[in-house]
Amino acid sequence: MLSRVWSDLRYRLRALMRSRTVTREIDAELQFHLEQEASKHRQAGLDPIEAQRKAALGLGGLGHVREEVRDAHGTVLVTRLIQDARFALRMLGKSPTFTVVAVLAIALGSGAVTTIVSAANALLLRPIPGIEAPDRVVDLNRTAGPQGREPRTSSYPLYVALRDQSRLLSGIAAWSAAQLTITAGAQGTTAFANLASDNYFAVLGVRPLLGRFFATGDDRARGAHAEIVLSEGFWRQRFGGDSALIGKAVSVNGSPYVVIGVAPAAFRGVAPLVRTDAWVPLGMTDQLRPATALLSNPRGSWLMLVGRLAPHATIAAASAEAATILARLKATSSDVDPDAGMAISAATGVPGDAHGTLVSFIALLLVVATLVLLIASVNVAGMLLARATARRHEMAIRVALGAGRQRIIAQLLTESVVLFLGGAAGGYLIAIWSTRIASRVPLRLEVPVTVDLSPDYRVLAIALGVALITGVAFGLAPAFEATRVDPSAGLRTGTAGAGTRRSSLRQVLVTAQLAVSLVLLMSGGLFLRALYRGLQVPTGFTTTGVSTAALDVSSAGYSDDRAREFYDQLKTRLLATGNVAAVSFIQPLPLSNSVYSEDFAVEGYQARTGEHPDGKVDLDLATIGADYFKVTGIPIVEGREFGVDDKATSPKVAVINQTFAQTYWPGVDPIGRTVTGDEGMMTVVGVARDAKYASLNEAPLPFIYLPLTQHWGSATHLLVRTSGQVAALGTAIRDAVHGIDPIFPQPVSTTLDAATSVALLPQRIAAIVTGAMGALGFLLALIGLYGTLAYRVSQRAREIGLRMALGADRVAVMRMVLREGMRLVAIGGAIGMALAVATTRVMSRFLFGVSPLDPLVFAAIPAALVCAAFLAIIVPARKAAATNPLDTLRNN
Amino acid sequence: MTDTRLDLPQGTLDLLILRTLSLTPMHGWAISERIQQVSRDTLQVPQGSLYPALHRLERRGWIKARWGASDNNRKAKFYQLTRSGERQLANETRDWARLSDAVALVLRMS
Repeated sequence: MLSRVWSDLRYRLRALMRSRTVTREIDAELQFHLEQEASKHRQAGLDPIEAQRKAALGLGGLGHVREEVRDAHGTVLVTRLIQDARFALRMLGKSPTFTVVAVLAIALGSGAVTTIVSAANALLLRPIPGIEAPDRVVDLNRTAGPQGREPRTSSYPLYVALRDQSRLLSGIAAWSAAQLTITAGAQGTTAFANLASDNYFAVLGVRPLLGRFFATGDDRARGAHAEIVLSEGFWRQRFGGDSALIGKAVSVNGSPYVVIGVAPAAFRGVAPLVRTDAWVPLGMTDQLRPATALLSNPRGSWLMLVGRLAPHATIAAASAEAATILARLKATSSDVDPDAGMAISAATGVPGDAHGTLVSFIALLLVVATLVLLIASVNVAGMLLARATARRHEMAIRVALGAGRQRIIAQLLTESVVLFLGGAAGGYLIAIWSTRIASRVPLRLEVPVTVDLSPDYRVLAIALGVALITGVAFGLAPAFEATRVDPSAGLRTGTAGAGTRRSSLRQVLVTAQLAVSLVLLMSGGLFLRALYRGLQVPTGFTTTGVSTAALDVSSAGYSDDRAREFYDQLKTRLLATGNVAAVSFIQPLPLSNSVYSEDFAVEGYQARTGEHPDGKVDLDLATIGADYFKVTGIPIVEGREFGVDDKATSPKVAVINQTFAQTYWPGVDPIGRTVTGDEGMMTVVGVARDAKYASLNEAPLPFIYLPLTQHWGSATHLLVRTSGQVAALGTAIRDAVHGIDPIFPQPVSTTLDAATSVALLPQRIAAIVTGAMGALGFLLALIGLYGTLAYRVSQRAREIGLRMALGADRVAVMRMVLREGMRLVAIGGAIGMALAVATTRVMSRFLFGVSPLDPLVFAAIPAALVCAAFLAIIVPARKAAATNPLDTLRNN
Repeated sequence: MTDTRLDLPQGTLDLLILRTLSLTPMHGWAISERIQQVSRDTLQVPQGSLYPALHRLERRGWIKARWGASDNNRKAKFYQLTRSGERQLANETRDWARLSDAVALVLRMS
C-alpha cells in the first residue's frame, strides 16, 4: 500500500517537475503510434496521404489525446493552480491601484494579528532556549489552597522531599534569583544570578561551553563550594571572553568564588525573559543571604522548581504523584501548609505567577487584532465586489467562450488568495518592524528584562495559513457574484442592472465594519479611562519629588553591623546634600506587585474557621526605616512613627494601618496592643492612614509596618525626598554611595513616579494597542463606507439624473444619499453598541473599577463615530447633488 | 465489418491491457493491434483512450515503461507488467470471471 502511494507520488512529482520532458515523451509516443498505424494502412493499399489521415482519425485528435494523457498524470490540479496564480498576478497587475490599496489594507490587519501572534509565540509558545528536549520539562508551582491564590514558590525542605520521592520526574531542579556583586579589579559589578540546585544543569540537559558545572551533592555540603558559573554574555562583556578565567577566583559579595565554568550562549536560564549573568550553588545560600536561614525553613517561599518528565510519564500522572507526596508530608509534619498543592504544567519560560495574567492579556489583544483584520478583509471583499461588477463584461465573454463557472470561481478565488498572501507578507514585515520597536520600549523594571518578540517561521506559517483561509472566505462571495451572469445579457448591456443584490451585500459588510470598529474604539476608550483612573487612584502617598534606588547590602557581602552602618552613613551624607528633605528605606517598594507576608498572632483575636488553624493570620508587611512616613507623606493618624530610638536592641515595635485596626481591634485603642510574628512580640506604636501597597486595584487590606532595624532584610529601597530637582538626586546618591564604599555596585536611581508606574503597564499597553487598532479599524470602516456610497452614487447616476430632470432639487438628492449613509451608520452603530455591551465585560480585570459600560465612553465614542461617518458620507452626497441630469441621460 | 465490432464495456480496457502485457512487454500500438487480433476483430480498442489508460496504469505502478527499439528499429516506448501489476491482473481476472458468470446466470434465467 505504502509503496503504491510512493510510486504514485513519485510519478506525479516527475510529471510536475519535468513537465517539458514528459510532454516530449508523450509526443514521441503518439508520433510513433501514428507512423505505425499509417504504415499499416499503406500496406493495406492506401496512398500515403490517405493513410496518414486515417491514422490520425483513429487516434481522434492529437491535442485531445495529449490532454487526456496529461490528465492521467494526476498533476492537473497543481498545474491549474500555477496557471491560475499566474493569471491572477497578470489580472492584478492590470489594476495596480486596486491591488496596492487592497494589499495595503490586508497588510495592516494582518500586521496587527501577526504582531500579537509573534508576542504570544515569543512569550508563551517558544520553548526555553538552549535546553535538551524542552517539551519534557515542566514547571512545579506551589499553590496555596482552594482560595485560588496565585501560584507560589516552594521551600527548600519541600523541594528536597519532592526531588527525592518523585519517580515520574526523572529530576527536579530548584532555583532562586539573587543579585550579586562580582568584583574583579577596582569596581564591583551587579550580576543578576540564580542560586541553583546542584542538579540544575543536569536536569535541563545543558553542557558547559567551558569548564564544568556543579557536582552532585553540592547542595548538601552547605557553604563548602564557593563556585560560580558565568553566562556566556556576562563572561564576554565583563571578562572579555578570557578562557584563562576558569579555575580562578573572583570576589562575590566580598568572598572568593572559583569560576568553574561558562554556560553556552544559547542557554539564558529557565526564565529567559530575565537576564541571567551567573549561577551559584544553592548550598551557598546561607553565605549569600545571611540571617535568613532559608535552607532550613520549611515554610519558606523562595524557590522556583523545574522538573523533567521521566520517559513515558505524563504531566497528569506526575501531578497525581506530587499530590500523594504532599499528602504524605502533611500527615507527618505540621510545617506544610494544609492547603498547599502542587501545580505541574509544561514549562513556559514565564514564571508561574505572571503566566496566567499574560495569557489572558495576550488573548485580549489577539481578539482586538483579529477584529482589525476582519475589518480590513471586509474592506477588500467590498472592493472585490465592486471589481466583480466592473468585470461582468469580461466574465460574460469568458462564459460565452465556454469557461465553466467553477473554473472562473476558482480563478477569482486564486486572485483573492494571492491578494491576501501578498497582504500577509506585508503584515509579516510590519510585525518584524513593530516587534522590534516594542522590544526597544524601555521597561523600568528592577531586573533587566530582555524581550525578543521577533516573529519566526512558526509565526510566518500562521500568517500565511490565516491569509489562505481569509482569502478564500472573503473571496467567495465576490467570486459567486461575479459569475452570476447570463452571458447574453452581460454582453448586451455591459454594465447596468443586477446592482441591488450586490450593493445590499456591500451594505451588510459596511454595517458590520462600522459595528466592529465601534467595539474596538470603545475598548480603546475604556482602557484609556482605566489608565486615567489608574493615574487618579489615590495611592495614599506622594510620589512626586521622591527618588528611589535599589540597594542590596548582602550582595556587597556586608555583615549586618556593617550594613546598618552603611545605611546610617548614607542617610547622613544625603541629608547633608542641599535640597534633600528626608531619607528613608523600604522593602518591598510599593506598587511593584511584590508582596511580603508573614503569619502573625494578633492579641485578642481568634481566627475564624477557614483561616490558619493555629489562630494566626497571614498579613502583608513592609520593613521601613525611620522617617518613612515623612518621605512618603502618609499621615500617622494615631501614635507615632519609627524613630532613631527604635534600635535593634530596643523593645520591638510595629505600625499598623487603619484597616488593620478596624478589622482586628474594632472599637479598641490599638496603641499598646501586641502582635506576635516569627521574631517575637511587637507592640503597636502607631496607626498610619490606608494606602495602596502591592498594586493599584487591590482592596483596602490590613497591613503592618516593621522597623528595618529590628527585622533585618538584605535588600531595601532607598527613598530620598527633595525640595529641588529629582533628576539631580541620581548623582547625589551615586556620590554618597561611592564616598562610603568605592567598590559597592553603583545603584541605579529612578523617580518613585517612574518606579511605581510599572503598576499601570498593562493598561498603558492595552490603551495604546486597542486605541491604535481601533483608530485603524475605524479608518478602514470609513473608507469602506465612503467607497460603498460613492459606488452606489455612480451606479445610480442614471436614476439620479432622471429624478433631477423630473424636478428633484439638489438638496433632495443630497438628502437621499445622506439618509442612505446614515441608515448604515445607525444600524452599524446600534449593533456595535450591543456587541460592546456584551463583550467589554471580559476586560474588567484590567479596568480598575471603571465600569465596562462606562457612560462617558458609551456616549462620546458613538457620537464621534457619527460625526466622522457624516464626513465620509457628505463627499459622495455632494457628488450626487452635482450630477448634471443632461450628461447622465445622454451617456446612458 | 463495423457491425461485428463491439465497444469496450467501462473499465475493461485496463484488464485487457494488463492481460496483453502479461505475455511480453510491448508498445502502445502493438497492444491495440494485439487485442484486436486476439479478439478476432471483435474488440476495437479506442485508440484515443489507450494512451491515457497506459499512463494511468503506470502511475498506479502496475506497469512500467522504458524506451527501446521497435521491430523496424525505431525508438518506441515499451510497457511491461510489474509485480503488483501481476497481482492486480489476477484479482481483476477473477472479478471479471465472477461478474460474467453472474450476468450469464441472470440472462439464462427462464
